[in-house]
Amino acid sequence: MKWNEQETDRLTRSLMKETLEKPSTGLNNRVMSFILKNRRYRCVSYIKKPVSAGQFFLFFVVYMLVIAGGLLSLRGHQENMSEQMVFLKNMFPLFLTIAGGISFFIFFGLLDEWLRQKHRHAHEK
Amino acid sequence: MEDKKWIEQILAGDVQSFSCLIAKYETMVYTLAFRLMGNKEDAEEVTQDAFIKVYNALDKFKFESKFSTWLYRIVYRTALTALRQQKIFVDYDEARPEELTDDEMNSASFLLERNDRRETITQVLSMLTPDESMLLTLFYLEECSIEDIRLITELTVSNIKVKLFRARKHFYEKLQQIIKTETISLL
Repeated sequence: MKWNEQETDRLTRSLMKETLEKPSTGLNNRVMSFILKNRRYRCVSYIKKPVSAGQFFLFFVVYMLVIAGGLLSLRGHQENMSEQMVFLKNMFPLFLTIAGGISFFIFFGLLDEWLRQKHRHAHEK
Repeated sequence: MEDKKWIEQILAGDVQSFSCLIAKYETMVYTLAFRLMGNKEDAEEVTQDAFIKVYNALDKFKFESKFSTWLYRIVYRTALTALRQQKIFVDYDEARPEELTDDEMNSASFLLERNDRRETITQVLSMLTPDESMLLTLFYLEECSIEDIRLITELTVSNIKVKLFRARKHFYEKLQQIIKTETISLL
């Protein structure tokens, strides 16, 4: 039989196929334990900045507007503009209380989360 | 693709993902180290050192080549350091050896039907020089391209082709010798 280059390559591949050498079973563990002892890449965790005063004020205003809008739409559109303004003026302390309450609740929730993340990050280091 | 995912996870701090890379490549890395070092103990040490070097240099790998090519290059360099040699490849000689004979090829093809072929091939590979058995392993077992081998060994393309041709010739010559010796001893 005459052998061409492709057949020779195919035969060589077939002969070489089973010649992989197996390392000892603990090799992976040994390398990993060495690496874990001398860790180079640390966990990258980003700590978000807490809510700024501007953002906090924006939340507050948005909640006030949402509550005012909600109440006005519940009352219907029968009244004229000046009557609506009187109504809003009377209800202002209520808006202030509710919007303030919600804004502070969110603000302290975010602050709490931020402090927790900061503490965890410091602990990992 | 999964190599890239694991590498990104490792660089982001998930060290355990490196274990996946080791599991995928440890057999081939160890085989290459074994071909170059010639014994199990040194091969194991080179494999271990190479993986640690790979881990420490992982942030320098920019995906410009295949991860396996970069890894095998580190294995090759680590083995050279362990052997305290600058290179294992003998100087470039352009002369090609003789073509393979039909006798050599026919006797080799019969070996495929034998159950003990693995032992015989391993014996043949151990009779070759480290550079020859490494080239055969990279090209025929790992199916690296000539370009990949060039990146691993820093040899020129024409040099690799000649050395590969010569390594294959030596491989079949030794194989035929072993088969002849076995036949004579049986008679």
